[in-house]
Amino acid sequence: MTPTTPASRWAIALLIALAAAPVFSALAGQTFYVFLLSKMMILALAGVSLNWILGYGNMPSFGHAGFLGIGAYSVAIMSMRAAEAQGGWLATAFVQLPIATLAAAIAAIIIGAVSLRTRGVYFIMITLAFGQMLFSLGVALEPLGGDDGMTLPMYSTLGPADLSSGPVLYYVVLGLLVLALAGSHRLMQSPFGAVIRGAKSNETRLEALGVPTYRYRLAAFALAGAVCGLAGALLANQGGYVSPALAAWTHSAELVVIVLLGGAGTLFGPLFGALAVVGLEEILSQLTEHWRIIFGPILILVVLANRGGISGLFRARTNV
Amino acid sequence: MSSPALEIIGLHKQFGGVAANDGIDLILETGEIHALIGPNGSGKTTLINQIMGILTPNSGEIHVFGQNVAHRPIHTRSKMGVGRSWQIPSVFPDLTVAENVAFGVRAALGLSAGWWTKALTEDVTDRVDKLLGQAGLRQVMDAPAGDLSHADQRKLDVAIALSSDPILVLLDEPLAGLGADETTHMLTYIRKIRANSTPGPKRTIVLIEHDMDAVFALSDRISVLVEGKIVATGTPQEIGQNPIVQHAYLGEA
Ligand SMILES: Nc1ncnc2c1ncn2[C@@H]1O[C@H](COP(=O)(O)OP(=O)(O)OP(=O)(O)O)[C@@H](O)[C@H]1O
Ligand SMILES: [Mg+2]
Repeated sequence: MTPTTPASRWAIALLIALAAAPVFSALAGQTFYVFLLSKMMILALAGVSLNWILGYGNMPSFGHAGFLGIGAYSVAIMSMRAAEAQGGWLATAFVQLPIATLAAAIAAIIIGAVSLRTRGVYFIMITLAFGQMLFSLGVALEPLGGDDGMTLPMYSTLGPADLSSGPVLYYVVLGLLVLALAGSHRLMQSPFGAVIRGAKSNETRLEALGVPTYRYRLAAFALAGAVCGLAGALLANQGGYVSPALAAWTHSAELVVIVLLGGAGTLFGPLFGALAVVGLEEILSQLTEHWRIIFGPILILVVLANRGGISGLFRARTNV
Repeated sequence: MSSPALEIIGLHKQFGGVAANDGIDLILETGEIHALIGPNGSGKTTLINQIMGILTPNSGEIHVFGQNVAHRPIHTRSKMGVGRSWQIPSVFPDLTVAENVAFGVRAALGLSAGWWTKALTEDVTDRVDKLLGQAGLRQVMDAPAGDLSHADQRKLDVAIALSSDPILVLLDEPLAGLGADETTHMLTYIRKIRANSTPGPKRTIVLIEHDMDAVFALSDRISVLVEGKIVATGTPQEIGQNPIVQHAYLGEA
């Protein structure tokens, strides 16, 4: 998708609105929305990363939230150490975010190296299993609260401020999301992206052209895991606490929903998907506690009626 | 003496109870167009699947320019100069026509797929342009391959096979489903393919085809496959007069 399609015009308008949102919510005295939109954008970031493998590359990972967990727990561990030392270099976001990202990347290389030897349903099952392993690891980590998780002893610092401040976190997240989207565009138009998109439909033919596809798919899987780890590090700061639920399969499923609902394999799909999922959850959960009963059918309808998800809806409308 | 382009020794491939290839011996000299003919299910596609590495033989050897490749992965065979087309056109439907041929071009130029450059840099575009011009697809280079007509997908399939600049080209029914004009175009195209390997020796071509006029017009030699065995090999003239062949295959055609 080039930045001139209807979907991308909407997406850019949405990003501009997001950039202005904290100002308006401050004026209106509704800071809750900054909190909620931060969460939405963090999930969009995780969705962007999942879209590389699930959307563009047809690698349907159902354990992607495991990397959210790794990123979040990396921050929790570093912040514990930093709190004991009362600050220091380990407390800063400039250290914590890269390390969280790297930790997730390493896990993704290992998980990907095994999972990518399978295809289709087997790939879904094995990534699901790895996700559950990471979830169980979180439950087993007693010093970090085990089942219940733990409150962050201190937030990632950023110069004089830290990420406990709603607006600071908000703009850090927005900045990283915009970077990830720009990177996503560039990456998918690169030769590497072409290999990932090509392997989606015709891996054998790519191999017959001299392209060792496994290597490239593994690199994409690692990159997706890394960026999802970064999202996890942000999510820990957004909620102020970490728990194994971050890595639970239901959370992985939510990321899959974000990608499918927004439009798998489209640049801005994850942004639309995250907005829709977080928005619907918020609205429906105020109407009834059984909001999932309404949410499920809406999801199924959108995806069935339009394979391209929300991005596809924009396209369909302008084609008429 | 230099090694032949392709030497197959005692190749055997079993599918359950079916011996799809049943002890095949075959030698191709550099630069020849060698047709493989035979009834449906006689094992022609199975043979080139093993040459490309898509299937692994149960036993036997496949030497490409002197090296036994029978158990090497697909992509290394491409690096050694083997390329193929598909009986049912096998393109990348979501990608543009230009992107479809760019993979092989990049591989031939020794470029790995970088993360941050543009997919179609100048040196790549030059060769993409040339390939698509030759195939008669330049006008549709920006269209998604999945939107092309069957005939254009067939041309694209062959162009993709050539994109990695192979010196041993395996063509699986390149004329299937083409109209009269398109067939003429494809025949000219295949003749050009042979001369066109830049620089170096002529390309060697294995041509699987059911269109006998085309086979007799194009090939230097023909091998006839029946039930997984080669029953005859010879010049078009020899094959045309061979009684076994007439009985086993040409008689039905
Ligand atoms: N992957 C496979 N699994 C099982 N059987 C197969 C497979 N591929 C081919 N066969 C069988 O092997 C035999 C040879 O098939 P092959 O496709 O090589 O024939 P062919 O000569 O290319 O025929 P056609 O002219 O119809 O393309 C057939 O009996 C076919 O059913
Ligand atoms: Mg065949």
